[in-house]
Order: sequence, then C-alpha cells, then structure tokens
Amino acid sequence: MNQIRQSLPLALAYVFGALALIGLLFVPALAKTITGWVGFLAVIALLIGILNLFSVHSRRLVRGNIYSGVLVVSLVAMIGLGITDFIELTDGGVSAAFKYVQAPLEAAFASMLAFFLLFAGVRVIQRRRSWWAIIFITSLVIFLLGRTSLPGFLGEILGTVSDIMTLVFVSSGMRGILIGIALGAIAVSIRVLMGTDRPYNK
Amino acid sequence: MIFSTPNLVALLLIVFSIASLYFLTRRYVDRSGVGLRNIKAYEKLQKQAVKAMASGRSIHFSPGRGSLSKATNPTSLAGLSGLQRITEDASSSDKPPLVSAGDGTLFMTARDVIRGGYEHSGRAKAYESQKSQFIAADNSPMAFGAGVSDILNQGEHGSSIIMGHIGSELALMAEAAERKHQDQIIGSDNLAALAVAVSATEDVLMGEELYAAAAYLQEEPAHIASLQLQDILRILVALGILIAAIVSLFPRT
Repeated sequence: MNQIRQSLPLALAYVFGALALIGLLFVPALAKTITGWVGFLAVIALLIGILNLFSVHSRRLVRGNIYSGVLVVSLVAMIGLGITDFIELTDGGVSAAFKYVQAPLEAAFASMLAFFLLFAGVRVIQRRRSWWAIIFITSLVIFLLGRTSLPGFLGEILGTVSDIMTLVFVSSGMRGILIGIALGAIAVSIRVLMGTDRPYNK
Repeated sequence: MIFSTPNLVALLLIVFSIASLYFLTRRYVDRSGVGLRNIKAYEKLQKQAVKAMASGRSIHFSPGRGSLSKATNPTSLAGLSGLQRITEDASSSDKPPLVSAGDGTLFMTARDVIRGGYEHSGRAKAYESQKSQFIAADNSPMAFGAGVSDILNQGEHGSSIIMGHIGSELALMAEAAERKHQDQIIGSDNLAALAVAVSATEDVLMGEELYAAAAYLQEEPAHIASLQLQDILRILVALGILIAAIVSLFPRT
C-alpha cells in the first residue's frame, strides 16, 4: 500500500509531464486541455489557501488582534458581495471594492517602496564598508545625478557616464543574470521531468 | 507545421539536456565530496536551524508567490528545496519554522514539504498545519508583501529566509525584518527584487545560485549533475553569442 502511495504520484507526474511536453511542442489542443485542468486545480488550491487565511486570522482575532479582525470582516464582506453580485442583488460590487479599496491601497504601498529603498541604501553606507558597498553607492549617486538636469559641463559628463553605465554594465549584467536564470530553470525542469526532483512526493 | 524551427530547437535542447543529465548523474553516483564553490548564503542557511534552537526564536521561510502552474514553477521548486532542508533541520526543535506562501498551489506543496520533513525526522505528530500560511493570491504582490511584513513585525522570528519568485514588494519585508534585527537570506529570479535584496542583506542568492539550492542543500548526484549541465549549457550559449557577434561583423551579401 505504501509503495502504491509512493509510486502513483510519480507515475502520474511522468505521464502528465510527457503529455504536456508533447502537447506544447506538437499538439496544442492537448496542451490547452491539460492547462485547463491545471487551472481548475489551481483554483481549488486557492480556495484551500483562503480557508487557511480565514482560519489563521480567526484564531488571531480570538486572541485580540484587531488587524486580523479587519481582515476577517473584509474577507466575509467580499464573499458576500460576490454572492449578491451573482444573484443580481447588487451590480459590480466586487469590482467597485477592488477599484476603490484594493487598488488605492496597493498603489499606496507601491509608493512607499521608494522610501524603504532609500533607507536600505543609507543602511548600506552605514554598515557595510566593503568595496562592493562603495561601488553600489558611487553608481547610485552617478546614476541619480546623471538623470537630473545639472547645468553645463558637469551635467553632460554625468549624463554620458550614466548612459554608459546603463547601456554597458547594467544591460550586460542583467542579461547575464537572466541567462543564468533561464539555464537554472531548464535544469530544474529537466530534473522534475526525469523524476529526480519530487516535491509532490516527499 | 509540426516541425517548426523553434519546436525542433526546443526538442533537441530537451533531449540533449535529459541525455546529459542522465550520464552526468551516473558519473557522480559513486563519487563523494564533490567540490562546489562556496556560496555564503547556503552556508548560513544550513546553520539557521541550530541558531534558531540556541536563540529560542524561530525561522520565517517564504517560497515567494510563484505559482506552480505557471512559468514560475522552477523558481518555486528551487525555493521548496530550501524549505525542505530547513524543515528537516528544525523539525526536531520546539521552534518549528513558519512558512508564508503567496499562491494556492505553492501553499499546498509547501505544506506537503513541511509534513514530509516532520515524517522524515520521525516526528510526524509534532507537525502543526497552522505553521504554514497562505497570505495572498499571486496577482496581489503588495498584499503579499504587507502580509509577510505583518508576520515579521510580530518579532517571533530570529531569521527571515525568502527563496522564490518575488518582486519589488520584497522591500516591505526586508524593512520589517531589518527593524526586528532578523538575519536575512534572499534569493529571487526577479531583477527588481534582486536590486532590493542587495541593499537589504549580504546573503543574496542571485539568479542561477537560487536554482543550485538542491545541489548545495541535499547533495544528491542528480542535483550536482544538473549544475554541470548548467555549465555546459552556459558554454554553448556563450559560444552561440560569440559566433553570432562575429557573423554580424561581416556584411550580408
């Protein structure tokens, strides 16, 4: 019984891995069908995740965490809006909540990122006295000054240095990292297809 | 139509990779102590469980918010390799790691990995399902960032390990971890996240280093062979770029 428990997921993974590969390369309709099934399973997983979120924050609410209370109330309200939208009691309730609550909150968080990055940069200067930190800060200063409209010769020089840094060093570095990521992703995918990596069967 | 050039190239690449990995794995089966270059972040990661036991503060681990049903799958699997090692090391202590995931499929798999870690160390009954948390769907990066920051702000954790697909929302988490003086190890496949990570900690797993997680943390022949496969593919890509650059110097007739 234990052997079946171990082998069945592995066999299923092999078969569906091979089928998806054949589908993606040669039979698009097959790939589309399998992708549809995967999408359905992803939705089920999302629902289980939401139940976990509700369970974790309900317990925290019982312990007196007010923010968890806000989350639980919001979650229930959104589900309620979804139901009332579905039975046509309300019109566009969920999209209105996204538009007037979720989107502005996410935008506010995104705008705060700039400040967090600034603090992180300052901490790099304070704590790390290595060559890498000096290069990091020097590049940052040159890049920022190069993008401002400094008058005369200084502006031209810093603008040119900043352009060279972006086009040569940053672009080549980024491409190098992206090529490494692509090769790493290929290696992991091949390991999963061969069954040497089995995150689904620990 | 079936044998279009991109499909054929992809097929050849897959066949070549599978064959190479098979032969390289066989080469490493009987060899022990294969020399891998030192990656400080992995050395530190291997000591985290002991450090957590000594300090009495647990580990927070996030495999990011990359769905296993999308192209982010290999990145998330690499992150789960890190989680597996942390769980196996920490499951014998009274401070189990807390895991936060930003996608349903990743959350489910992470739970399975944690349960497997406890079973592996013979403490299956000590597994607590509440120690793995779903934070937000993968299309709400800021909600995920805010949720993880909230966990880190509670100050129960001595270290924060983030290995997986994550974007610039990492800045929120890094700031929260910094405020609570938590050790940070960050690995991502996203350039914006890597830029944030470099300014937050010295222990960054940059790009391909993240995918080497299994080789460094589990040290099985197939994992070490896959590192060599990456090197072979890298040489081929470099040669391809070099040849293309030389060819482009000559005018087309």
